[in-house]
Amino acid sequence: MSRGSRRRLPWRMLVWLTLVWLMLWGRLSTGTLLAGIAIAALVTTTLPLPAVEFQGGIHPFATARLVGRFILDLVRASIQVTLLALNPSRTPSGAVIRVHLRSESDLYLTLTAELSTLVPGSLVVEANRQTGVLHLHILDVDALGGIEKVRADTLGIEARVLRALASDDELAAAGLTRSGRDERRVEQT
Amino acid sequence: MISTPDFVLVVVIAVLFAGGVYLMLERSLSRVLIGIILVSNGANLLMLVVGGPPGGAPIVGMTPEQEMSDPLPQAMVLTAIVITLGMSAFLLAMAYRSWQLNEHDEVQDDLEDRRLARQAATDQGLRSELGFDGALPATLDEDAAEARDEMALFGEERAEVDWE
Amino acid sequence: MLCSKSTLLVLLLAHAAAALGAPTLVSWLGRRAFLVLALVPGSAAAWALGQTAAVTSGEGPTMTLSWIPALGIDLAFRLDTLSWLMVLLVGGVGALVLVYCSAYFSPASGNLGRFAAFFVGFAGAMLGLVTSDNLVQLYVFWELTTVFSYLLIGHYTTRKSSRRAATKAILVTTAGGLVMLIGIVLIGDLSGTYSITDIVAAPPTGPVAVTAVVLLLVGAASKSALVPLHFWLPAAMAAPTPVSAYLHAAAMVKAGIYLVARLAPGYAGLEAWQLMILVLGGFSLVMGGYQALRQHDLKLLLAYGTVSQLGLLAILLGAGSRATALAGLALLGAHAMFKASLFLVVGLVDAATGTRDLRNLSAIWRRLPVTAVMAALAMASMIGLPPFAGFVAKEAALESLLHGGASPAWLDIALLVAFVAGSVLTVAYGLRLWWGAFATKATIPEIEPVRVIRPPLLLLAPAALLAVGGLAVAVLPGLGDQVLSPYANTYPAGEPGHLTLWPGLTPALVISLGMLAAGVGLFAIRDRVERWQATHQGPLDADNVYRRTLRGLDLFAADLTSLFQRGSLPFYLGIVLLMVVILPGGAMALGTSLPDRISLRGGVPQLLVGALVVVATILTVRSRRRLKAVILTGITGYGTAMLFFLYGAPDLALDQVLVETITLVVFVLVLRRLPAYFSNRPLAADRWVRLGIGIAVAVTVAGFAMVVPQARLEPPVSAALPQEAVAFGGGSNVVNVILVDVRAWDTMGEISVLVAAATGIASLTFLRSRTRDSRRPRDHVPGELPVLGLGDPDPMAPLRRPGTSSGSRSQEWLRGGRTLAPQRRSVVFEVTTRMLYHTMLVFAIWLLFSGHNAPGGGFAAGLITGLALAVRYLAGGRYELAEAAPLHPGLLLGSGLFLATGSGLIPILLGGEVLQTAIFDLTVPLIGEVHLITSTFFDIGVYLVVVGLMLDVLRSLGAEIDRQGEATGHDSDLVGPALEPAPPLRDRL
Repeated sequence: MSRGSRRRLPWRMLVWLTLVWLMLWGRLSTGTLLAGIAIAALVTTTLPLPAVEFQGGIHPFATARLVGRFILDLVRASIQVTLLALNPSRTPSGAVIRVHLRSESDLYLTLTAELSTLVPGSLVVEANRQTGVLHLHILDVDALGGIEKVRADTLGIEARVLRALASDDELAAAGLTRSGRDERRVEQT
Repeated sequence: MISTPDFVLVVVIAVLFAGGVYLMLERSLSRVLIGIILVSNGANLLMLVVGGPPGGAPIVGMTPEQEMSDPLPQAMVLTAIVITLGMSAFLLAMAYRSWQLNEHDEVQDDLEDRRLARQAATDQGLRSELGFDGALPATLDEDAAEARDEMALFGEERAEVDWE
Repeated sequence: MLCSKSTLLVLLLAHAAAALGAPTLVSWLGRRAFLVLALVPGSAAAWALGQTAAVTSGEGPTMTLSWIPALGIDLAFRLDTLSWLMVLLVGGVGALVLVYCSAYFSPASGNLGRFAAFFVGFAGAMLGLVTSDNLVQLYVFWELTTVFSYLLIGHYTTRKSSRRAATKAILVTTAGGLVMLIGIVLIGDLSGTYSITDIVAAPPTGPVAVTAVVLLLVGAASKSALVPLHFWLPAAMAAPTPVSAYLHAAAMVKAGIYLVARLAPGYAGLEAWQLMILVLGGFSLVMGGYQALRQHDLKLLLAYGTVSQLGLLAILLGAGSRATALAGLALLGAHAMFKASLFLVVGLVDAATGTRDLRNLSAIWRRLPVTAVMAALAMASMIGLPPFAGFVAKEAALESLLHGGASPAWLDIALLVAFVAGSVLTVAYGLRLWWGAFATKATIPEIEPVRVIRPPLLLLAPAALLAVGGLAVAVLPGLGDQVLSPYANTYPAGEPGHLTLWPGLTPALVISLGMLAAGVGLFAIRDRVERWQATHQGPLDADNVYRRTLRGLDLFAADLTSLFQRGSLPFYLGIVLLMVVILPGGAMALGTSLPDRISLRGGVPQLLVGALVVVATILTVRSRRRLKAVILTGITGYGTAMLFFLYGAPDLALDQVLVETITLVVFVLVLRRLPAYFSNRPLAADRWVRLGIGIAVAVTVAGFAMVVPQARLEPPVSAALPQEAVAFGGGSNVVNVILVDVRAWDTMGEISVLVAAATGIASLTFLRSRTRDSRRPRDHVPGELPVLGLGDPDPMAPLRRPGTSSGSRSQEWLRGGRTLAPQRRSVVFEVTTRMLYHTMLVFAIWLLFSGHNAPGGGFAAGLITGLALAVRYLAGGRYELAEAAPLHPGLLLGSGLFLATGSGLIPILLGGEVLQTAIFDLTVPLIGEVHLITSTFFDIGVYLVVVGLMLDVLRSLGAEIDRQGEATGHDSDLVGPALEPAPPLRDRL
C-alpha cells in the first residue's frame, strides 16, 4: 500500500459513519450532521486502516433481493433446526462440504461466509482467501436437499451478494450477469 | 417505602454467593477469580435488591418519576462492575505470573506467617524483642545507671569551652 | 491591647519557626545555636513580664479566632494571673535551660539539631497550653507536649532503657489525655461551650458533670505524675538532664497542676473533687517523699521529690480556699525555680564527675564550691528554710490549712496531716540530696581530681540564677502577694491569704520549726531508714502493675497471633467470611424477622433468567476444566445483566454485558498458557467445610436480601435526584449524572483504582520494559517481521491448496495480518474487523456523548472501544494491536485522570465547588443551540482511563504473552488436551 493511497479520503466510510451517527441520535439537524461528519473524519484520519479497493456500488433492487431472500432463508432454516431439535428420533446427517466460490474478492467471500453462517444449520469452518474456497459444516444435509443443493444455495448467496454490490467487471469475472438469467450452472468440484 | 423482596432474586443471590464462596476458598488462583466474579455478580444484585423496588429505567423523560427504580444503588453498582473488571484482569495477570514462575497457579501458604505463628506459639524471640528477657525488665536503678548524656567533659574540652 | 493580642500569636509562630529551623541552625552554629534559640522562650517570658501591670489589674490580653464554629470550638487565648505565672515559668526556665544546653552537651554529641527542635517545639506547645481559653484547644496543645516529651525522653534512640521510658511516658500520659478528652467533651456538651472562662464562671452540675470532672482530674493526674500514675516520671529520667529540668520539673508536669488550678474555682466545692485531690495529692506527697529517701541516683531522688511536690501543689491549688490557692501559686513558682535549679546542678555534677550515684560521690563541695552553694540555696528553698521562696509559700500554706474554714473540717485535717508528713520527708530527702552530691563521706574514696574541674560560666549561671531567684522573690513577698492574689481570689471560698517573709511567732511557725527538726532527725538516721526501706518493699508497685499489664497484653497478642496467623489464604478468607456469618448474621437472626410475604412479581422472564443463572453457577462450581468454567461464569454474568435490565437498570445491563464479554476474552487470552484442567485435589474433608461456609454465607446474604428492604425508615435520598439531575447536572440519565456529578468523587476514586490495576497488570506481565517491542508493522521492512505460528501443526493444511493470488486477493485488510502464519489467519475475521472497526468507534463516541441522557456514558464507551481493540488484536495479532493503538497506555491513563481532575477543577474557576457541574447554553451559527456541560469532560476522562486499562490488558495479557510464548517456544494456542487435533476433515468430505 503506497503512502499516497492512504491519504485518499475514504469517502464511502465517511458517509457510512455519518449515517450511523445520525441514526444513533435518531434526529437530523445541522448540528448533528456537522458533528457526525467531524467525528467520522476524526476517527478515520486519526485511526486509519488500510484503504479498501472497492470498485462496485450499491444496486438497490439487488440489495433488496439479497436481504429479502436472507430473511426468508433465516425463517425457513430456523423452523428446520427447531423441528430437528424437537424430534429426538431423527439422527441428523451432518457433513462438512467444500464450496468453490467464483468471485476473486475477499469482501464478497466474507459476506457470503457470514450470511451462510448466520443462517442456522450451516457454519463456516474455514474460508481460504487464496483459493476462494469455503468449508461449511452442515447440521443436516438431508433436510436441505442433499450436498449439491446446499452447494448451489451457497453459490446463490454469493451471486446475490455480487449482484447487490459488485461492479460489472467483477460480475463478469465471476461469470455472472446482472440479471442472472443466462448464467452458467454451478461448476462441480 | 417498604418493598417486599423478590423471591427469585433472593435465590439467585444466594446461589451466586454459595458457589462464589466455595470457589474463593480454593487454592487455584483462577478458581478463586471465578469465585470472586460470581460473588461480585451476587453482591451487585444484592445491592440493587436492597436498594429499592424494581421500576423503569431512571431516565427523565423515559419513565415517570414515580415509576423509576432507585438510581443511587445503580450508580454504585456500575462502579463496582468496572472495578471488578480491573480486578479480574489483575488477578489473571497474577495467575499468569504465578504459572510462569511455578508452573501452577495455586496460592501457597505464606512461610513468613507460619514462622511468625510458630514463634508466637512458643513466645520465642518475643520476650527478648519486648525486653522480657528474664522475668521482668531491668529495674529503675539499673536503667538510671545506664542513662548517660553526651556531656561536655570539662577536662578534655577546655578549648571548646573557652569562648565563654 | 491589639498589639499585645497579636504578640501571643507571633510568639507561638516564632516557636514553631524556631523549632523548624533549629536543625539547620545547629548544623551552622553547633551547640552555640542553643543560645540563639533561647531568645525565643526568653521573649515569651519578657512579653509576660511586660504585661504584668495589665494582668494584675485584670486586663490581660485576650484573643479569639474562629476555628470550628459549627462545634463551638474557637482558638481562644488569654493571659490572666495564672497564665501569666505559667508563661513566666515556661519561658524563663526554658530560656535558661537552653543556655545551659549550649555548654552541657558535648559538641560531638549526635542529633543535637533534632533535640533542639523538639525542645523549642515543646516550649511553644506549653506556651499555647497555658494561654488557651478553650478546652479543645488546650487538649491539642496538651497532647503536643506529650508527643514532644516522648521524643525528648527517647532522645537516645539506640538505648533500650530510653525507648522503654519514652513508651511508658507516652502510654500513661496519652491514656490520661484520652480520658480527659472524654471529660472535655462531656463538660463542653453540658455547658454548650468549650470556653474555660465561661465554664468556670457557670460550672454545669449534676452526675454527668461530676463524672466529667473526675475524668479531667484523671488526665491531670497522669500528666502531673500523681500517684498511682506517677511511675512514668522517674523512668523519664532517661532523658537528658536539661529535659528533666525543664519538662519533668518546671513545665510539663505542671500542666496537670495548671488544669487543677484552672478548674478549682468552679469545682473545688464538689465532694468528688475534694476526695480525689486528697487521695491523689496526699498519696503523691507522702509516697513521693518516702521513695525519694531511698534513691541513690540523684536524678531519681529528684524525680520522686518532684512527685511529692506535685502532690503538694495539687492539694494547695485544689483545696479550694483563697488562702491555700495563694500559697499554691507561690509554691508553683518557687518549685519551678528550685527544682529546675537542682536538676541543672545534678547535671553539672554528673558532667564534672561522670556519675550521679551518691554512693560514688564524696567531697565534691571542695571541687565545685560555687555549685555546692547554689545547690544549697535551691535546697533551702525546697525544704522551706527562711528566708527563701519555699518558706514563704509553705508558711502561707500552713497558715491557711490551720485556719481552714473554707472546706469541710475532715478535709482540712487530712490535708494538714499529709502536709506535715510530706514536709518532714521533704526536709529529709532535701538534705540527703545535698549531702549525697557534695558532702565528704568517710567511706567513699574521692574521685580523681583530674576529672573535676571548675565548670564554665554558661553551665553554672542558669542554675545559679534560678537558685538566687528563689531568695530574691522571697525578699519581696508583698509584691508576690499583690501579683498573685487576683487569681487566688477567684476561688469562691475562704479568706484571702497573704504572703509574708516573717509572720511573727505564730503556731504555724512553730509547726514549721518542728517539721524542720523532724526532717533533720530523719536525715540523721538515714542509714537505718534506708535499711528499713530495703526490707519493707511496698506490696503494690504501680510500675510493676504497668509492666505486668503490658507483658500480659503482649503475650495475649502472641497467643492470638499463633492461633490465627496460619499463612493460608483460604484459612484467612474462611475466618473473615465466618465473621460475616456470625456477627452481622447473628445480629440479623436475633434482632430481625423475615418478611411475612415475598413477591414473585418479576414474572416468567425473571424466573427463566434466574433459573439459567442458578444452573450455570452450579455447573461452574462443578467444572474441572478451566475453559468450561470460564464460559459458564460468562453465562452467569450475562444472566445477571438480564436481571439488571429486568429490574430497571439498563445502564448496568449494558456495562455488565460489555464487562462480561471482555472478561471472557481476557480469560481466554490467559488460559492459553494455563493447563486445561484445574489441578486435581484429593476429595478432602475440607471440601465439605468450604461448602458449609459457602452455604452459611449464602443463607446470611439471602437473609439480608429479605430483611434489609423492609428496614427502610426514611424515604430514599435519591427521591429528588431526577429533578436535580436535570436542573443541576444538565442530564436526564440520572445514573450517569450521579457518576459524573453527584458522586463524582467516587468515580474519581474508581478511575484511580483502574489506573493502579492497569499499571499492576503491566508490571506483572512485562518483565523488562513496558514499551519495548510494540513496533508497528509499517515500521518494519517487509520480510523482517517474524511470522507467528509458522511452525505450528496445521490440521487445516490439506484444505489450503496453494493457489495463485490475483486481483483483489492481494487486498490487505489489516496491516498486521501478514505477521500471522496462514493457518492463524481468518479472512472473514479480518474483513469484518476492517469494516466494523470505525463503526464501533463511532458507536462508542455516541455512547460517550449521549450517556448523559440515555444509557451509556464514559464506562460503556470505553469498554466498547476496548472491545474494538480486542477484535483487532484477535484478528491481526500483536502487531495489529500496536498498529491500532500506537499510543502508550500510560499516556491514555494519565491524560484521562488529568482530564477528569481538570474538569473537576474548572467549576472552581467559575465560582463553584470542586466537581460541580457547570452548564453553558451557547447559540452557535449553523448548529443552533449547544448544550455544553463540564461534566462531559469528566466523562471523557473516565473514557480515556477505561480505554487505557483495556489497552494495557490487551498489550500485557495478549501481546506480551504472545511474545513470551514466541521467545520460549511455547506457542500453541491452548496447551494440553483442551484442543486436541481435530480428526482429519478429509475423512468427512
